[in-house]
Amino acid sequence: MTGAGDPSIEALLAAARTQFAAGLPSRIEALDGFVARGQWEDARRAAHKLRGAAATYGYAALGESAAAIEQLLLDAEDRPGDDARARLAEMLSASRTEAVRAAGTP
Amino acid sequence: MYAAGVSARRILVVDDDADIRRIAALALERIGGFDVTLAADGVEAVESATRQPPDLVLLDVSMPGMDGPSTLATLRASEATARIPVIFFTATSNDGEVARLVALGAAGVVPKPFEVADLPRRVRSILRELGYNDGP
Repeated sequence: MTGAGDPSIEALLAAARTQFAAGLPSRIEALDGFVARGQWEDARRAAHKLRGAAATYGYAALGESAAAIEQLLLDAEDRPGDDARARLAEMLSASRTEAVRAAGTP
Repeated sequence: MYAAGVSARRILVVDDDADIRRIAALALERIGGFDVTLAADGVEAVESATRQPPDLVLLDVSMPGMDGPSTLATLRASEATARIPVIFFTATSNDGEVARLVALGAAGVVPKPFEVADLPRRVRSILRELGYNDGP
């Protein structure tokens, strides 16, 4: 995530990235909540949004995790069975770890 | 259909994700030199575009309620906003989806994720194809 070399723009982008990272745990918590309540379409939409935003802000790994969650729910047609839910729980755990790490890294 | 030879300056960015709105505005204003207005959903976008027509709308596809295609259709249905070019913003940008969005009337598609410093260039490129000058 670069700002064409202008120091003032680079500073603004860095601040935006820090702000985004600080909000990541909340995003994952919201996604977690949709999954816990079985709100699969909402979970898929939240994963879709996180996928685009995370990658744009430079958090490629988290973007890929979100993409995987979205794809799992798409493949399950928003009705994941036991196996899919187990994989989903693993993916969410990994995303949560990644989000906490990002939020703690300046 | 579009204003050939005119410089496009005002962009309305529509996305339900506040983080995307923030970074798009930063890129388009501070790097691109455009004047940016933000809207968080399709209804707000139509109201804003009607009140103060932008030169371009950068519109997210996937939004709750009035989604991107519905917002575009609403803009096209009103004389005040029918001729405003719309570029779709989407994280689903395979060839089929791009063709679908263009068939709906989009002037172009910008995929997500996007390289922040590159967003103004992409927007200018599409504006040039529409016959606008390079903008600010």
